[in-house]
Amino acid sequence: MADVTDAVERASDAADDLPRLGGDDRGQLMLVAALAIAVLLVGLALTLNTAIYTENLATRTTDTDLDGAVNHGGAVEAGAGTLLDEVNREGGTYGELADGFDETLGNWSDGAATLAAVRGAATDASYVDHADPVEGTRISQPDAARNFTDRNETADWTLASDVGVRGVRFNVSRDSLSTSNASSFHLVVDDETNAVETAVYRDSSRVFVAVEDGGGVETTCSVAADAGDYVTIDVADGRLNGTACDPLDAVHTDLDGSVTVSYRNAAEAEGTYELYVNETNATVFDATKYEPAGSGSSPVAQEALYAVTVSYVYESGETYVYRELRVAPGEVA
Amino acid sequence: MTPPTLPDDRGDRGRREVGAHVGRSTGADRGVSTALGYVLTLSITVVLISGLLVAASGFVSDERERVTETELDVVGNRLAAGIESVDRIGAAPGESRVEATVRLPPRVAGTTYTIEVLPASNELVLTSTDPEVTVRVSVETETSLAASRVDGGDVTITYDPASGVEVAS
Repeated sequence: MADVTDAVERASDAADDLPRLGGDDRGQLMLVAALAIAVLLVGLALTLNTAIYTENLATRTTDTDLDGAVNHGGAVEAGAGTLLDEVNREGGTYGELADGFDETLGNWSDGAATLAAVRGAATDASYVDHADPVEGTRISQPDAARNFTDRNETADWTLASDVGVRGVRFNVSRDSLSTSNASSFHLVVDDETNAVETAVYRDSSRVFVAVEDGGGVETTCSVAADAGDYVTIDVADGRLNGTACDPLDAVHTDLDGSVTVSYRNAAEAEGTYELYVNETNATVFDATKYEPAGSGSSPVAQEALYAVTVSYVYESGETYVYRELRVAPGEVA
Repeated sequence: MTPPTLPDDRGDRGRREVGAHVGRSTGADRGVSTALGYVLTLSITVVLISGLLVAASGFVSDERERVTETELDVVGNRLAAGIESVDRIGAAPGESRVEATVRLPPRVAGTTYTIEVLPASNELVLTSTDPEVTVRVSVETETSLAASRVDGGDVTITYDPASGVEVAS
């Protein structure tokens, strides 16, 4: 007969297991719910993290580095402007001036590139010779002891008519100036619609610059000056002895197009001056008014570059900029 | 002399107590309160937990949508700033060529997105995939702006005099 004892014992063990609810199987609902909520909370934490990252992103500066390119463009324009006037002061024919400027700007560019490399940018500036420079004339008086009259010592005279003008600078002896506004030295810039008259005079302790704008309104600025002093006036930059002189801004705001530049009461001021006009020396030079370059006498009209075109490249990790600039520092109107 | 006590005496007392208990219970309704209590506890727990889960998932979903919208707005404004910077250089006098890379995140709140440039309405339209959120950011340029559509991530803005400002990935 077969032994069935084991089978009966196995059946009774299985019956013991079936109805047991207490113990390890209890609390599954809570466990599942707790897991689900935990997952949701993790999701919420990630969402909040994204919100924080967004705020971080929003407060970062723009990473295109285009401001660096714009700053470099400003440096190129200012640097090239200073170099252009230095080359013009050296003198020469138009061809020699262009070559001199090309070489000088190349040297400046090498120096600037070394400095820009420190900030992680590669730069280059060069003279654009396919765009012809604007050939002009430099009118100047290098003799500081002479008054501002023309070659024939005419006190009221016109320097140039119907021209573009830039870089008008004076270095005037305080002692030579008139003490009365009416009879003082006047610079008149006239575009045939409006005229801006700038008078320079003094009292016992100050030098005054009085500007009558296109509407006939006169405003004044002044600077302290002792006997023996010289005072610089930069008309286009609006500066008197290096400090801002707002009335001079009228030459930018009230004039338009070509202008005529003339002096009145030129015997009432002594010192040096220079200005550039955009007509060739052949047109502007008038033997009754000017001395030729190298004569040692004043005033002089000589060949000069009025405006040139330069290009620059600025390259950093995120940015490449190539730009061509017209350089004509201190242009009036 | 006391006779020795038999173990059976203690056993008799035990049998009497069991006999009394069995006598009070009367059949099928035995243990009902335990089962009822268990079912009630379970039901209330299920209802409470379901409510909690629904509310929490709705809250998380709303927050995610809101965060996506905010981030798309920030990303759009960064790109608009880049486009306008490039445009300023392009619009300045003199010939110029500009190429600038704007580093944008490839995903916002875990979802990909696309950027569409609409020159007709001077707008950038940023659309995320999931949740689908659309954000419009205005962009003003002086030079011409080319229409394009790019995926999120690093974006290159170019300017040249012939084609104006272009956005490409």
